[in-house]
Parts: sequence; C-alpha cells; structure tokens
Amino acid sequence: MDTILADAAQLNDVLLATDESEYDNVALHVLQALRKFQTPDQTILLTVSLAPMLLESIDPVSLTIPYVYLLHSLLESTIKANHSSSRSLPQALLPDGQLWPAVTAGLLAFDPIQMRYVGPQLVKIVEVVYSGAEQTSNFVPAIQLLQNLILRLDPQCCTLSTTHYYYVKLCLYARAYTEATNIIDFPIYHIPTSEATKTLEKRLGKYLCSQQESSLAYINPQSGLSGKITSRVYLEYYLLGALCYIGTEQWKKAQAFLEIVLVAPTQQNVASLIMLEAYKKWLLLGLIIKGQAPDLPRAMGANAAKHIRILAKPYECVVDAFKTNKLEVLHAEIQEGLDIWQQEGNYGLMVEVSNAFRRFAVIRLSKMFAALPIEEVAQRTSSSQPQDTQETLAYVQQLISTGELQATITPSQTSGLGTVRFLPPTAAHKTEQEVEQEHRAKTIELKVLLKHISDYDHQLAANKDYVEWLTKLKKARDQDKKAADKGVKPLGGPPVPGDFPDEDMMDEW
Amino acid sequence: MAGEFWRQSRFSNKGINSAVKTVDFVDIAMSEDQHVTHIKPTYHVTVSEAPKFDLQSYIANYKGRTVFRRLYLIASCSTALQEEAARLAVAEAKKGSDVNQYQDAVQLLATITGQDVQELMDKKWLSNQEKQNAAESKRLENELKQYKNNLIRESIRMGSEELGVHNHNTGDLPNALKSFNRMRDYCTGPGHIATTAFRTIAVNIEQRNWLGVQSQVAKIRALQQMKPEESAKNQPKIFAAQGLQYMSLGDYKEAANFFLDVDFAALGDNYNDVISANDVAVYGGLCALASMSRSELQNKVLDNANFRSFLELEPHIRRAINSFCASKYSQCLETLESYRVDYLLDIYLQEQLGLIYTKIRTKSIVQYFQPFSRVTLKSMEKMFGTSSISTTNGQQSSTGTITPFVQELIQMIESDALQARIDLERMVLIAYEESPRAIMQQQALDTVDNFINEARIKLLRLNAINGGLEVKQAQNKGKQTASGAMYISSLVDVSSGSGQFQGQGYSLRSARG
Repeated sequence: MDTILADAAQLNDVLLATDESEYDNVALHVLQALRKFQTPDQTILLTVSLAPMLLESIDPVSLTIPYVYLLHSLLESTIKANHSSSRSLPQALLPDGQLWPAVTAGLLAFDPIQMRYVGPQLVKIVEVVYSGAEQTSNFVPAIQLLQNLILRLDPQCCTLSTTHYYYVKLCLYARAYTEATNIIDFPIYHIPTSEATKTLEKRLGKYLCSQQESSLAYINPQSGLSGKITSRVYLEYYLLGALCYIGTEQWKKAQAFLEIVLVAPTQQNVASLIMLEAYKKWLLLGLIIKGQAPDLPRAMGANAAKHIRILAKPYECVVDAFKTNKLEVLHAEIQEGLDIWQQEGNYGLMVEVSNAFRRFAVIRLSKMFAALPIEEVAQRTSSSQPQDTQETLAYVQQLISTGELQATITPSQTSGLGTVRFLPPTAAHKTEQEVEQEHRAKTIELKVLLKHISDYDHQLAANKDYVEWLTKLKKARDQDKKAADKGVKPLGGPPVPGDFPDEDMMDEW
Repeated sequence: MAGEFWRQSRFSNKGINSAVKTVDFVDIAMSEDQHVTHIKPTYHVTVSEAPKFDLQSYIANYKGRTVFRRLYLIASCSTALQEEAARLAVAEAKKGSDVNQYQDAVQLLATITGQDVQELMDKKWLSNQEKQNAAESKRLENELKQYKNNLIRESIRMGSEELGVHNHNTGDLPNALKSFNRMRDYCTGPGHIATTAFRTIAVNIEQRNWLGVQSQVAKIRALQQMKPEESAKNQPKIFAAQGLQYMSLGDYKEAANFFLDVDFAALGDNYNDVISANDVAVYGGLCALASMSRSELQNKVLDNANFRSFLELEPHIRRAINSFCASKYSQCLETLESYRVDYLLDIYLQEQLGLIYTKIRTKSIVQYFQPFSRVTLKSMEKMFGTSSISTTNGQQSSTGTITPFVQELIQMIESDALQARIDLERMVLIAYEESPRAIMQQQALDTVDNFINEARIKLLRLNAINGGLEVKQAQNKGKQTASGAMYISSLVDVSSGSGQFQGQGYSLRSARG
C-alpha cells in the first residue's frame, strides 16, 4: 500500500509539465496496483470502521487517484454489506452519515488531472451522492459538491455529462434555481457519446493527462468521467434547465433551452413526450417575451411538429386568444383549461401570460399616447370591474421601476390620480458607449463560438460516413472523367472543409 | 306562371342540345339549378335626404337594363324619391320584356303606396308578355337548331347571339351566359370575339361576377389583329369595365388608374347600358382621392387633359380634388359629404362609399398632420369635425376626454395609418419620431444574439445527431395517443416526474406573486 502511495505521490504538476508520457505511465501503473491490491486485502476495506482511518491518512489533493479509488471500493462494499433493501442507500453513505466526511473531502479538494484516471469510480460516487440527497431530501450539500466537481473538472464546462444532469435535477428538487444557472449558463458544445468520441480518440490520441483544448477529450465514455448519455438524458437536461430559467424568470434563456429540445433529432414519425412538454412551455414563453407566438424553429422536424401541435391544441388556443387583444377572451380561454394547466404544471406560466398581456397592453398604449390619465389606462388595460385606478397606478409604477416602460407619472392638473407620460421612443435607447461595450462583448462571444464551430467541422471531417461519402464522390467523378487511372485514390486526401458538403460538391463540379 | 315558362324553355333547350349531339349533362344540371332562382336584389341602405340630382335627367343618362336596376335601387333606398322612382321603374319594366322585373317593381310600388299588388299589376300585359317571351325563345331555339343542322358557323353564331340577347332581356342571366359561351365557339374574327366578350361582360356586371369580368377583359385585350378604329372604340369600354371591377373589389388605386385612362371622346354615351361619363368622372375621382398622393393627384388627375373633360361633367369632384391638393382638407371633405346622398343612391358606389370616404378622410388627416410635429386636438377637430361614419364601437371614455374624433385618431394609430401619439393631458397630437441610428444598433445587436443562439442550437443538434441521440420509437410498444399517430417514447414516467418539478416551480412563483 505504501509503495502505491509513494508511486502516486510522483504525480505532481512538475512531472506533468516535464513529461506527459511518464505521468500517464505512472498513473496507469498506480491504477493497476490498486486493482491488485484490492483483491487480497478486501477484508480490510470491508470493515467500515477501519476504512475511514485509511482514507484519512491519504491526502485527496495530492493523491487523488488512490483516494477516489479507495473511496469507491469503500462505498461499493458498504452498499454490498447492506442487504436490507437494494433501493435505498445505507445510512453511512447519506449526508451526515459516517462516511459522508470522506465523500465530501474527496469531491471538494482533488487534483483534476488525476481525477481523469478514475472516471468510472467518480461517476459511481456522484450517483451515490445524488441518490443520497434524493433519499434524505437534503439537497444543499450535494448541490455544492457537484457544482464544485463540474467546475473543477472542466472549467469551461462545455461538455455535457451525467453529472450535469444530476446537478440540475437536484437543483430543481431544492428549488435552487440560481444555483442551477451557475452551471447551465455555460453553453454546452460537446456531447460525450461513444459515437461522437470514436473519431476524436484517433485524432487526439494523446494521454488523458495532456492539456487539451476541449474537455471532450477526457470527459467521454472511454475515460468514464460521464455516464452514458442517452437521448432522454440529453432532452431532459435541457427541459429541466429551462425550468430552472423559468424559475429565475430568465425567459429568453429558457426559450433557447426549450428550442434545443424542439429541434432534437428524431426518427421518422416519432416525437418525444419531453418535446411536447417543451413545446407547450415554449409557446407560452413566446407570449411572455414578445406578446406573440414565436415561429417554429426551422430545424424542427415537420413530422414531429405535426404530432406535437395536435397534442398541444389547448395551448395554441390560448395563443390565439392572446392575439385577439381582448382581455376577456384570454381570461375565458385560460379559465377554460384550468384543469389542464394545473395537471401539466403550467398554471404558473399561465399566470405569467396573463400578466404579460397586461404589460403588453400598457406598452401598446405607449405607442398610441404621449400622455394619458391613469383612469384611462385603467379603463383600457385593467381586468377588474369597476376599474381599480389605485391598483393600476401601482402597476404602472412597477412597470416603470423595472424598466419595462419608459414613462413618468405626474400629478394631474385637474383631478384624478395623475397622468402617465410616456417618454418619446428616442429616449429609450442606449448611449453610444453602452452600445460599443455590448458590441465588444458580443465579438468575444462570437469568436469563442466560431472556434467551436471550426473544431466541430474538423471533427466531422474525420467522420467515417463523411469520408465514405467523399470516396464515393471521388469514384463517381473519376468514372465521369473516364480517366486512365481508374483506381480509387487513397482515402487520406484532404477532406473538404465547410459545414455544407452539398455546396462543396457543387463547387467541385 | 313564370314557373311554367321556365319549364317550357328548359324542355326545349334540352331538345336542341340532344338534337345536335352536343349535350353537356353538367350544363343541363346547372341550368336546372339556376333557372329556379330569380334573385331579387335587396338593399339595406336607407337614405332620407333628397339627393341633388334630378331623377328624370339622371336616369336619362342610361339605357338598357341598368335603367331599371338603378330606378329600383333608388326606389328601395331613398325615402324622398321612392314613389317617383318606383313608378318610373314600373313603367320601365313594362317597356322591356323581363316579367320578373315588372313583378318586383309592382310589389315595391305597392308597399310604398300601400296599395294592393293585384290591383296595380297589369295581368293582361304580364301573361301576354310571358307568352311572347316563351314563343320568342322557342322560335330562336328552333332557328338555332336549324342552323346547327346546316352547320353554318356564322348562322349558328348569330342565332346563339340572338338567343343570348333575348335571354338577357328577359332576365334569364345564366342561360344568356350559356348562349354567349356557345357563341364564342363559332366566332371567326377578332370583332366577333370582342362582341361576345362585351355581351358576357354586361351579364357578368349585372351578376356582379367581377372575376368573370376580369377574364373577359383579358380575352379582349389579348386580341391581336384588331382594326385600329375598332380597338379605339373598345378601349374606353374595357377600361371602364375594369375600373368598375377593381373598384368593386376594393382596389381603388388600380380602379383609379383605369378610370383615368378612359378616353372621353371615344366613350361618349357608348357604354350607357353600364356606365355613363358622369359615373366615370365620379368613380375615377373618388378612387383617385382615396388612393393617390397629392402629387399623383395633381399629375395624373388634374393635369390630365383627357380626364379634365370628365371632371367638367362633375365639377364638384374637381373642386374636391383641387381643395385636397391645395391642402384645404376640410373643404374637400365638406364637398364630398354634401354629395354623400347622391353617391349612396348609385348602384355601384353604394357598397364602397363608406370605405372610400373613410380612406379619403384618413388620408386627409395624415396629410394635414405631416408638416407638424405637434397639433392641438382641438384645432384638428375643428378642421375635420366628427366623422359621420360611426366611430362609437370603441369604449366610452370615463373622463370624457376621448371624443369620437380622438377615438377615430386612436383607431388610425392602431392600424398604423397615422404615425403619431396622442397627449391627452395637453390635448395635442405629437408626431412619432425615432432615431434610425439607435434602431439600427439595436437591430445589429439582436441579429448577433439571434445568430449566436441559433448557431449554438444547431451545433448541439449536429452533436446530437452525430452522437446517435435520435429520439427513437419506444422498444416496449409505445403508448398510442388519441390521434393515433404519435408514438411516445419510453419517457412517460420521466415527464410526469418533471411535472412534479413544474408544480414546485409554480408554487414558488405564485407565492412570490
């Protein structure tokens, strides 16, 4: 055991910086040794009382590999030892249980490079943490641990993993929407499925410990740092993420997340129920953001869209009612489907839609009037009968304070509560400096995005199907030309860059 | 009795068709449908004021069936002229051979004067005329049959035309159309085709089948080898018919353009069975006012030597256009308003007048406001007064600051006709101003945002496809929904789970709200 630890101690930043292959070798060696070590001495680990002491003697920061490995075996054996029920976790593993401090220590402080070598073990630990939190409804510690883990492992956070999925789920359980946005705010660029990483592996071909441009290189099924991502996990992650955004009233981001679900690739004539859920919310969000139904995303499959729209008919009726600009119609429609909204958990959004209607009604007034008495606003926008002018005054004040409305309220010269004076549209615009600043921010954002696009383009260029297609193309062309040399040229020819192979094909002809 | 007549003529019609072996079953079936219905025109407008025109001289402008139709309309709509018009209509109907028209007119007169229908009805004339009509139809059909047997194209054409004209005169419009359609098959020269088309147009206009008019006009215009003098003769009629068509369909700009191109000298009173020169002046002038800008009005209408001759017939239209061009909008509207009654009694203008007047009024207000950045509502209201078109469909103001005129302005702003905002505190109308630079900047930022968003979504989608994350059909027999078309993948449980989250999310939100 001591020798293993001594070996593992070699794994430090200096070695990583000087010799990556040596680092890789040592890490793998340590892993192997650990595996051998476990078999004869399993009895030692099985005793729950002894293991914490052993773990305590290991520093999780410098000796992450042995620590996580041992922690994993400990958890496994504890679960095995607990035969009572297969579903629930033993007491010792739950938050505030006997082993919890060890788990916390391992996930809070670790060496991210070493951690790459113990992916499968880590995923198991994450699952234990997740189910433990679920079982005890004590979500906060788990959320903190997972957030730390995700960010340490992948500071750019651009690769989806099952840890993400568990994290968002826990946040929703705990209603910690703001916590969730800390993670889901990072745009995801990679999905680590075995299909996606097949090509990558060959191309990068380096060591797990190497400095990588994209985290996909180590967060993938081969390294085991993420569990298996299925279409269900993928869709659910985005739907749940959207719910978190809705919880924090970040409507636009929520809508973008839902759109990802809507355009998810589907087989012929199949639509997922998650997509249906997403569509309903997406429609309502359109009303809240813009006051009108959004256009269907172009990439959405026509067939899936057809099925989904049939099933979301009550929601489309609300959209139509919204369009009529008549408060009574909208209210009647919302009232009509009350059961549906409540059953499907969309009642809160419906309330928001109703509020949005009022907001847009006031904003529409600002396009027609430069100034008008509060009473008039109440009459044109309020739902209550007789109109509650005081309430309307408060509402307009609130709109002004949140910046939704550019207006002032002045005391009336004659009688009544006062006059709302809408500022001219020119006053609502940003200053030049603000605009410039925004431009700069967007430029940076765009550059990052473009880099990801070109990365992905490279990755696709190495795709087997694409290369096969290129070969076929070449064959066809060669036959067309009836060149003397009829043999197929080697495949290694430079792949044609560009996202749109069709266009390139046209160019070459 | 009328039914008897129709049955007879239908029977004989069939006889002819089968004799010449050109039976068209569809045709017969159709004619049976159409025979039964003689549609009595109904009008919903009531005008109590007396119009400015003199009925006798007004109606003397026209000839043919339109005389009766115009008289009948005036008798139905104008309380001041109803009796006079109804009597004239009865007399006019008796001159012709359409028994239905006569019966309609007598009935109308009876309701107006309170007399008994039976007393007023000249039954002898009626039965005589019906017999005559039937005999004439029979004669013409027999002649046509003979011609067809002899296979002389020109005779068949003439025979069909005669039968069509007879049908038209007796008010059997569908059969008239059929005869004219048959007539076209035997046309030999462009002149014939033009004649046929004009006959069809006349029937189509009476039926208000504007699409039919359009297709016939297209046929005439497509004719190539027309003699110059003939095409000169046809041109004004075509333009007038097309103008009428566009006006009735609500496309005032096109209508104005066609009316403005009608050649005054060539039209003369050639087309009096449809439209008089006075009508062209009024329709053209009103359509132009409703659709053209001030400079267009000046160039195309007032400076148009040809159309000036028309305008001389209706000087008040010219006055209205002149005052519009001179920015004297209230005068223009007043002039038009004083002729509202006259136009409401016009057979083609009646339906469109409200819309045309509203358009002219809206345009006047927009034009009036253009040079100002702000105008007091009071001065505008003084200028334009309250529109006589009902504007009471809006809500009534609780504070009393919203007059019908302001309500009208609000509607104009809502429909984007007027770029302005109303200040109800200081009672002024303020021009809408915006900074193009700021809008542009905002647009640029929005575009970037959209692009980033879309690119991310697409990239993820590519990733998903590449990663084989397609939503697949459920392995264990998916639940079928009511629509029966959608296979739900095995996600049902999860989705209900997420429903739970939404519930939680909601309770949080509602607690806050």
